[in-house]
Amino acid sequence: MSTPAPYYFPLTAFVGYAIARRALLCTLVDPALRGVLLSGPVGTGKSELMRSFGGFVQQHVDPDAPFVQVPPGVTDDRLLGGLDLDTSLATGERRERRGLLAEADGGMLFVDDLPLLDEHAIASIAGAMELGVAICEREGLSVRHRTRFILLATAVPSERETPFWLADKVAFLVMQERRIDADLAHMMITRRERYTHSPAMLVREYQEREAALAARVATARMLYPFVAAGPVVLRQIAEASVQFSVEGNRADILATKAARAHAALRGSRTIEERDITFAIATVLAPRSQAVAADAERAAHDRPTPPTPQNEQMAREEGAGDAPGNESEEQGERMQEEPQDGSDGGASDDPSADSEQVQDPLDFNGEMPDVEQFIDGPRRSMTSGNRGVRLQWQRGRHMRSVQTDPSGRRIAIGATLRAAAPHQRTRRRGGEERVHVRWEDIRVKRFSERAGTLFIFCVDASGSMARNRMREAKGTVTQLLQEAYVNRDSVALIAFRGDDAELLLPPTPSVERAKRSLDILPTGGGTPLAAALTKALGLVAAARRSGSERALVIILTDGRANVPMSENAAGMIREIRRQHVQQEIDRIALVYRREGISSLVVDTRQTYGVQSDAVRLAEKIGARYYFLPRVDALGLAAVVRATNAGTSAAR
Amino acid sequence: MTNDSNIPIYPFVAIVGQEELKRALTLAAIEPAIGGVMIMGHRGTGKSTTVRALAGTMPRIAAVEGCAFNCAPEATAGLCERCSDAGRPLAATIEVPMVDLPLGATEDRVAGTIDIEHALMHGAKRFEPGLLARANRGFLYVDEVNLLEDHLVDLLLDVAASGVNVVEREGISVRHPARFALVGSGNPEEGELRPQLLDRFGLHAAIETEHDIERRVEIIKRRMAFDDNAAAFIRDWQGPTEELRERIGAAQRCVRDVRINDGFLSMIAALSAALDIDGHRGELVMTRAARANAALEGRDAVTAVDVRLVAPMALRHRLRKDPLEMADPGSRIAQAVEKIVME
Repeated sequence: MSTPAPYYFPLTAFVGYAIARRALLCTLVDPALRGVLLSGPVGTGKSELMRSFGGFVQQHVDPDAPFVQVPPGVTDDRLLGGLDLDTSLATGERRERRGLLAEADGGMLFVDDLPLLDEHAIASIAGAMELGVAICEREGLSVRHRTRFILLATAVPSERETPFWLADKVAFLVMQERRIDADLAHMMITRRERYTHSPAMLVREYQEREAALAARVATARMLYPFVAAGPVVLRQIAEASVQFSVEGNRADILATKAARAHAALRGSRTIEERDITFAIATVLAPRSQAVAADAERAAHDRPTPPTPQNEQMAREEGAGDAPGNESEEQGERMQEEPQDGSDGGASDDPSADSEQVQDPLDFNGEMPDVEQFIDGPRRSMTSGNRGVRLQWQRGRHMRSVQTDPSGRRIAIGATLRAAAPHQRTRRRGGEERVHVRWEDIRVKRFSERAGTLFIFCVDASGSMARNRMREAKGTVTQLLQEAYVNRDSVALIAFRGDDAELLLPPTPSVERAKRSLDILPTGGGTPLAAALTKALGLVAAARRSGSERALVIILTDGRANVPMSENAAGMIREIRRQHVQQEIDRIALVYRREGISSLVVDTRQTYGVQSDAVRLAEKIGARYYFLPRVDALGLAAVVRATNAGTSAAR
Repeated sequence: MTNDSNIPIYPFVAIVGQEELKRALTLAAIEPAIGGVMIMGHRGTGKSTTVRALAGTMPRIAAVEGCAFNCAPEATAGLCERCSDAGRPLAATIEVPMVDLPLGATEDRVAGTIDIEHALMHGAKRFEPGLLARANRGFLYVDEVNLLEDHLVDLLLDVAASGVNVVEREGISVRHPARFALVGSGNPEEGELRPQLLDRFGLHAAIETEHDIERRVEIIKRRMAFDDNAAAFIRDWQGPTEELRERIGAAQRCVRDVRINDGFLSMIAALSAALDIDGHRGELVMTRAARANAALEGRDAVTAVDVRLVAPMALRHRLRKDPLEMADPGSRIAQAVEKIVME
């Protein structure tokens, strides 16, 4: 639970995050907008922003609004609620301990790093949001609590995919705005330092601005019901949705509400272009399927988003029509604002302190640069890398079993149930306490995810590349057809040219695999090292998230990593080749050290003793298969056999 | 839904589009023997909104008052222990149960378990019914069904097949009726479903994003109206809701009398054979669904229209999967139907 912190970093003191802050404020105007998912690299202040927003709400908007954080390893009984052991044992009555979902009612539920959350926790949150009820059917308890909360989630772009089916329930999917420039960063750091040294002072300094912002929210809440979304607006939103191939129709509804809330925050009763632009950029564009499905094509000729001209219009309109509750200082700042400086609160006066910078929360001022959001954020959400961290003792509590409890987690509910019938005989005259004996103890049995993550690294260079890619795709779908049995998942990395590309992030879905693998890029050199590194990242992420096993499968004909030729560049190429080999040696060490199961499938036409593929297998400690005529079924069989072999060896 | 939360439910009849889904649910409501509905499709297309709206449009049912299993007052078989032993004096009408099975549920709450409070206080074992009991004679709804834990899937399969829940745990030994239609929804991108579970669903409704601009606008409009004033919105749709309720009620009463001639039966068999479908559940479901559809349309005999309408829903999930096929299996079925039924 949360008691309002005495101090929080003022929302108005933040630098950057103009769009994110607007989105957050919109959720206060209409809670049916459901929340904000903020995605960006580590260390950019995402969580701080969310906490600061929480502080703002509790201090200025609604003192009773809870701010509840969901930790990454949250168990079902904490999230959904369960038996309150202490009280139940003391009173002999069944007492409930409320879960986080119920506790968040009327306030905010904060999930830092959403993709790290266990699949079930995500499903539970999504379910509660869908129903407006937190259902607890656990440990002999059956209770329901009404719950309405704003979901505040952050995500770090990583190999692990953002769970979009939960993200889809919140209106705003905001990507990290463009890197703030050095001067602004400097300003941010200075403010944070000041806050660290003397929070009270900074808070006092911003007190007035925070209050003004709160007043703006209050006004917007009153205005909101009167903001009409006419047929023209609805049409515009529906058309944008179609243009972006947004999946489902929920987004249309959310976008309409977002436009209304944004208008209300401007102090206006009519929706203008800028409101629609905001809604499209934060609600519709990030959901674009066009980008996810045909990334390659979209990169070259993506459909012209309807926003730029709208934005243009918004700019031409200048200061907007309803300065009503605009504070004077904001009005002044607008005058100073440079005509072209639209970069999320950027100022071209570097020496400026807070007072001279355009306020990104000035809703009637210049629209922050929203066009960047339209550039396929979904794709960028799946790249990046982070260090390896292993976790043990995770997984889901499935059922409770009677066994030696040493070193295991005790299942409280089941233990009590086992002990309950004996209480009459065990209690001595008038005694209240519950007697639990050794034989009553039940421990939790955790479901390990039995599944394996198969990571295919496919050499997409050279003459046989097309064939290899096709069969790899066939193998992927073949393996996934059986995935329901083992809960397996598959990822595919293609390496060629200068880089290795993650074509298919880990997924258990045949549908998604088919869609993503439609594009089969081929040709170019062979940056094997890059592919091995990417695969390593995936293994790390899988291990981090639980007990998933992983198998890296490398499909290559083992030709030299860089094409040899007799021309003048030959020497340079030779040097580069050595360099590449050294790189691979380094990565190979990591593979061996981390004990990563791997398999090298050699697709050369003729067998020779010493090929690069053989050497590679030796280096990384992989199994080696010579498979000159690759076909999907054969490959799938080899992969399965290898997987069975390596897992048996454990 | 069992409206224990007092949250207003969007009216079934006000849902724009999604005709196949609405039809599949309505047929399952008319003829429970069809065996539930599986809904697969995109996010945000109103899957769970539609499912949760269903119970509110169905005729209410009579149940023994205070019975944890919603036993039917007039029934002679398939009753819980208490209702088959004692006389059943008091009957109440209840809304058809629509029970949510949350993914985080534990096995003991789904199947039922020992009443711990009673045991602690009185030292006696008493069975405390779970969700399966509550769903008896109604629907059990699993959202994101492809994420359901395997051990819960096993339990559901077992009970759905037998209609009886057998509990043998913690020294308790109970069997009680648990006849329910399973409704599951999910997004195919979240993972595959086990074939045994897939087969358990009578109908499979595919659901897609509405692309027509006018309809999209209508969807937003209605939803905004509902969110702004739910009570007024529900009132506005009261008429059509009652109308549908009566139609379903009438169909429920006459569905078992709908005739289906041998010509159509052999057509259904031929369709299954042409599509190379294993087992006969598909044929059985198609027959029942065709009759339910005829009943809904007020006909006393099945026509080609009925067969054509229900074939994709009844067969879609029973086709063999081709790893490399991209197209929706629905079109394959439609082709077969055109060839066989329409000649």
